[in-house]
Amino acid sequence: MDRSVYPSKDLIKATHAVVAVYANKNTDHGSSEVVRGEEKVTTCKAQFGLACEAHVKVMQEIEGYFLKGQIRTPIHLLCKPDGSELSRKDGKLSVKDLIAFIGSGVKQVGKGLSRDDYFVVKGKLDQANAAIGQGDLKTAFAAADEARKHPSLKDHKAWQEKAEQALQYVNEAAMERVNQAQAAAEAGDAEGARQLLQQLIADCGNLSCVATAKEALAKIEGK
Amino acid sequence: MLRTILASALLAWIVPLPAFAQGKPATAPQEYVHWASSWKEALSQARERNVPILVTFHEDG
Repeated sequence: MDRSVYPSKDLIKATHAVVAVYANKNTDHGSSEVVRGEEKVTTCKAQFGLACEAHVKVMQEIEGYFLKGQIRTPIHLLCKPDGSELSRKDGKLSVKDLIAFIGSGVKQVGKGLSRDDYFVVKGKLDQANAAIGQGDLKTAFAAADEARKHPSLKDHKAWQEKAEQALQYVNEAAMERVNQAQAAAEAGDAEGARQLLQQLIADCGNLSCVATAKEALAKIEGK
Repeated sequence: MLRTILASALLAWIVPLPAFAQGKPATAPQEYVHWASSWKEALSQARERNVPILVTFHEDG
């Protein structure tokens, strides 16, 4: 395979629409250390960004499933998201042919979340969940709300639901705080209760807990 | 002879050696294909994103 194929910018861009898997049982090409950001990483010399152990392991995992009898590499396969085979091409491919091959798979499966969008949205939802665990409702709401409003989710119902679920978790955590504030007020700590509620109202945007917090605050202030 | 030595010294001063020749690790390319590190990871991400999996089989040599 021409060594210029995988580093091609056009091909790299096309692979953002799929999950890419490189399988090779050989390690004779060796590995090298490179600097990525602040860290040194060991990478395969044949394919940047992957450890040789990983492409050997992948080969062991899938060769029995996809390769029967004698094979001549390179072979490119497209699979459905469940791993079943859609189509394959034997032999070397040019950048143009490989991009067209990827495009045919995307057409059959439908347009999913691109790699970049996936990591942005998933990162925001993970951040929201972590912030809930730390009691940081401001960060949790902001991250979950940002995920929900991400333009890429417009056509992805499952991810819209995940974002809505994350906001629901923020709301539940905030409602617990409203209860804490009401308990504090009943115990005579009106100032503490007021501070908790005011903070929640400022942090949680348009969640339903905000209306409940406003009612609780009005009650404490005797309005 | 002296001219050759001077020219070599000047060239070495002007043209920096590549990182690997200096014994330093090279810098990662800004863009590259992000390969999944296992089949399990590939399946999990493909299902979550609802995208196809591109598998490429290679051998050295």
